[in-house]
Amino acid sequence: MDPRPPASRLTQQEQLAEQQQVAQTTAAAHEVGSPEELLRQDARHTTVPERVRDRLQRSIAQEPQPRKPWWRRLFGP
Amino acid sequence: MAELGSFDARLPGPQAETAAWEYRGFAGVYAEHARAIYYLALRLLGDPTQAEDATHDVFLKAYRKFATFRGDAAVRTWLYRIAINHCRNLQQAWQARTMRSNADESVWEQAASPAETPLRILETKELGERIQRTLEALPAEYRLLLLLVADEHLSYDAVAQLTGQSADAVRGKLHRARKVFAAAFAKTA
Repeated sequence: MDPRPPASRLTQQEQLAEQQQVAQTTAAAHEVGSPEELLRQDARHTTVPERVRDRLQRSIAQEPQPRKPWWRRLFGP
Repeated sequence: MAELGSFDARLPGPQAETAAWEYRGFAGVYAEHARAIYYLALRLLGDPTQAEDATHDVFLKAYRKFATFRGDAAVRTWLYRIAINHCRNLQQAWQARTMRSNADESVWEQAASPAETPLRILETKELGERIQRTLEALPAEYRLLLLLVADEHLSYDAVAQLTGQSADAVRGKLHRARKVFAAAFAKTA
């Protein structure tokens, strides 16, 4: 059973609030034209956790310095 | 382009880390491309923790090879190549353990709605889950194709290079991939 009172029993303010809620729900739903757009939207909302950067920074610090090519070792810098 | 320089590894801990990180502008490379690589790994592997590990490993591999990177391809394309190979290796190892197979493409082809039909979505946290379920239902080739084409920084030629086919073949498959995706996505509602 619908617990809501008939519309006539709702005050003007309540009716307005209900209309706004419906409008917001409708606005939240939208359409995208292609899977690529959908994936782009998904990608935009995806953030790389900061700990990945921190971990990578630590790993790189432990790496040996790459060897310079012979011509650089010979002629510098 | 890779720029050779040096950093002093004898600096105290944090300073040495920062120096190594900035070395040859690698911090900038990470800042520019990390999201794209993480997103690809996330959607290919379907697991945030695995995607974090993969992103770390891909960039570490890239760092090791950065001095030999000759700029034949754009940095992003080069990173994608490393990421695709890395994820493929991980998936092969998992598949060997679990013997999971991809969904039969013909099932989706039959049920496919026209690619032109707009995809109705609700902006909720569930979007990522729905996309993940959709991608997992797709043949691996279509999954990768769509993820790469969705990156506006990549040309069709770059996608073709990364997937080992011609740009025309990419366009042809993309049309089918869109239809299959649309049908699969509708089923996740």
